Amino acid sequence: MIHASGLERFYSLRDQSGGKLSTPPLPGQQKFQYLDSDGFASRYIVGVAEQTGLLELPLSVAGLHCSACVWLLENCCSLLDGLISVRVDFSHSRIRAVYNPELTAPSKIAQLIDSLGYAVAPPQSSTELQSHDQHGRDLLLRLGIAGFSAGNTMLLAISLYQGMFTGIEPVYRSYLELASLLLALPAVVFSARPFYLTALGSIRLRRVHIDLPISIAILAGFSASCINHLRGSPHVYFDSICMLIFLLLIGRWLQHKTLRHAFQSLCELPTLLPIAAQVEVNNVFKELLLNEISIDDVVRIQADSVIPVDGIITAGHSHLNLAVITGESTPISCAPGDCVVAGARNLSAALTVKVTAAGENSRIGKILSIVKDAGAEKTNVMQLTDRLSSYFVGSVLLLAAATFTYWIQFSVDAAVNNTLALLIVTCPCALGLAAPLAFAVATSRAAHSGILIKSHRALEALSSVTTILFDKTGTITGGNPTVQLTCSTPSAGGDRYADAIPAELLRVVEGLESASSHPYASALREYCRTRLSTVVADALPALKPIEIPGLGVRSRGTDSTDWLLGSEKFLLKQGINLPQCYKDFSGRCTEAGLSPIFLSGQRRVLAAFGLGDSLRAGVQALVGYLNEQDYTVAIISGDSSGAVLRAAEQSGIPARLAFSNVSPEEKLEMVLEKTASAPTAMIGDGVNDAAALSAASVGIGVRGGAEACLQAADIFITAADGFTIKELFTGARLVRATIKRSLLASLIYNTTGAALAMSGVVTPFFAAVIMPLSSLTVVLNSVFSSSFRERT
Amino acid sequence: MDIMFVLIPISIVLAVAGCIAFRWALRSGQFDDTKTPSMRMVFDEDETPARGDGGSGPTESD
Repeated sequence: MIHASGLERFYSLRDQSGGKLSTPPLPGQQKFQYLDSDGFASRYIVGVAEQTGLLELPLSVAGLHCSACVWLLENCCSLLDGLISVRVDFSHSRIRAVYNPELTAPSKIAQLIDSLGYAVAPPQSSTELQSHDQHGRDLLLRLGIAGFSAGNTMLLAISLYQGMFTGIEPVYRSYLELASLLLALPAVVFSARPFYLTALGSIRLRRVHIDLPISIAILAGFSASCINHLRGSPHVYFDSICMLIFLLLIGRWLQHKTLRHAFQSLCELPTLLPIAAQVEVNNVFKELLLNEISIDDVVRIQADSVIPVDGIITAGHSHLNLAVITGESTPISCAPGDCVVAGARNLSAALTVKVTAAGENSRIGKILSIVKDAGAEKTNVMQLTDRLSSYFVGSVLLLAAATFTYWIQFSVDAAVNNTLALLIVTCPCALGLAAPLAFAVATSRAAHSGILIKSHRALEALSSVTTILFDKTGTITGGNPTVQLTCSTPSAGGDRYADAIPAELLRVVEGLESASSHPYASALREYCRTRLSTVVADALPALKPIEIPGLGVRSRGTDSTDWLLGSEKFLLKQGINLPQCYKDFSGRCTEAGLSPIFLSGQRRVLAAFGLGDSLRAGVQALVGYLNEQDYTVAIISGDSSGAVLRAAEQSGIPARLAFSNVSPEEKLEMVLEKTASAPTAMIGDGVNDAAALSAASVGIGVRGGAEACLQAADIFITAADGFTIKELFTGARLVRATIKRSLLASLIYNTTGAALAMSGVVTPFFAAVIMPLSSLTVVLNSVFSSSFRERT
Repeated sequence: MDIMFVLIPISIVLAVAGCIAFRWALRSGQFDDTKTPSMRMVFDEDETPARGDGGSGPTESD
């Protein structure tokens, strides 16, 4: 389709920029009818201009990688009648499409974009994001004005400094100083306001905040400079003050930008619940947005899709994956009359469900709101810089008082000037820049490795954590069952058994499970595929497998062999008993927490598979590293003890620290208990971990985690292995080291400057030189730090 | 050097005008998305045949 419309340029642009489409579009799966509903229109769609009758549709689009994607979307209007223009906002993953409502509809626009290979969703209307953006604009304005002041005062200051060395006529000096004063006003009065407000707030709360000495330096410096100007003294510091404000605002801006990026990435991750559902309206199934569904509506849920509401099944037999709530990925069968929860995955067959609770009132919705409230109350670990600054402020104020009292014996002039010089030179410009800068650099680098950090506080807290709690399913293990053990009887009969399974049997198994969407089926298919060299799904065309839900698969081959593949219960129902060696196998499986599946042909058991969760790559290395570094590592899981002990053993965690059969509430209790004694990090996925994640000192969510987990977690890791988690821990330590180095450097500058100021040596020129030097050292130190460097 | 008394106020006025322009650009959302315009710059206008606006010059070969 892209070629047909003369859009070949897409491919050349795409090749140039090296991007590629993420996943191929799923044909016909989405119709986006909910975009045409009145509810959606009233919330999102805006008219462009009165006369034109055109409407503007905002949409979230995921999968934008490069300029080729931007080009394709902005030039695809020719593909749909009535679509006038599309404008892409790459950094926010949004588009705005202008269209003629008489010729086309939002759903068609969404279908077009979807067919081009981009995932479409309603625009995000998170108020958190919006206020964040508003704050960003405000900050940028202040920064711009401060830059204006700083640049211009510095230009004028060149003349003044020159005059200090070679002489300048008083009238010119006075004039230049006046101009500097006026130019400094915007910075001092407008740009620096956030500092004043925080400082006032901290005074009221009797807590020391770094903004306090900053505000004192700015205001005292400005007023003293004004006074000096009026008195004709050359000690004016307008340029230093403006530069101070400018550099500090840069630090704030950096902080803001990196947080925005983290927010954005978090929002792009797949959401917990589907956006829309098929609801029966007047005996026809229509697609409606989730917030338009009410109690007692009838909803149809297709196979292999997420259940959108809490409800009771009215028709259909299927299997459910409740991992999102319980943490266990073992499929559970369900029938009419059973309850389902929103967020669970419907596996094998379509279900019709009568709604009992939707949206916020569903169980997941309630958990989400608990998580949100808990997150807001999270205790604030005092940042390193905050603690340091309280000592700093105290010392500076003491020194200032000492300087003043000493010099006042000689002259008021000297006293004022030297004290002022002290305040300005020791100003925590570098202090205010060191931590935000180091964190900003680390956070953006970490994002490239797939680690999304929501706040700097989390990264800092991580370096002081001593206990680490892991969830099992989906965190340490893959979350999906794989084949762990195998056993088979040679066709010659007898009780001997081998571990490996002969190829013909593997082919049979693959054929039998070819049509099933059960997780065990895909596990078995995967196993067979890796063991067989060619894909032979159609090698046994006569195999028409019939799936019996909850039990297994049966079929009759062309050679009239009766094949059965399923659980022990399934075989027993057909009257087939397990020989002793398979009973032993079954026992071994239960011990290890695996589920056994048996294959029988012609009423004889021929092979068996033990299925269970396997460890993710890198977990052993991770636990080894953590044990080396003297962390206390434990597993807390809702799964059975056999499975948990096996996982603990495989990963290197002592059995006494492996806790099984833990409910979400118990998890929360354990985390609270451990956090009370020492800073604790909790790593998990799924809704059953969400409360625990909020309660831990640092909550780390892992790929595959549900949205509740994302909201609760401070750090989210998108890569599915233990290596990335290890990188997170080492990175946190390196960042702390970088910050310490920066602080040390700035401390040296400050003490030197303070000593010189107190002895009366410091002139405004000296102050103006020393401050950028210290900031520069901090910047270089952060940029060249080795935290979160790209893995080679 | 007395010219300084005239020049500095003029420069300040110009600089303030720049500030006002900055504020206007910020308010109208031009700083919200700084990534996409940089991508848009490299596009050629004359590629898609069906577009009504834009130039219709000869296509460049890469």
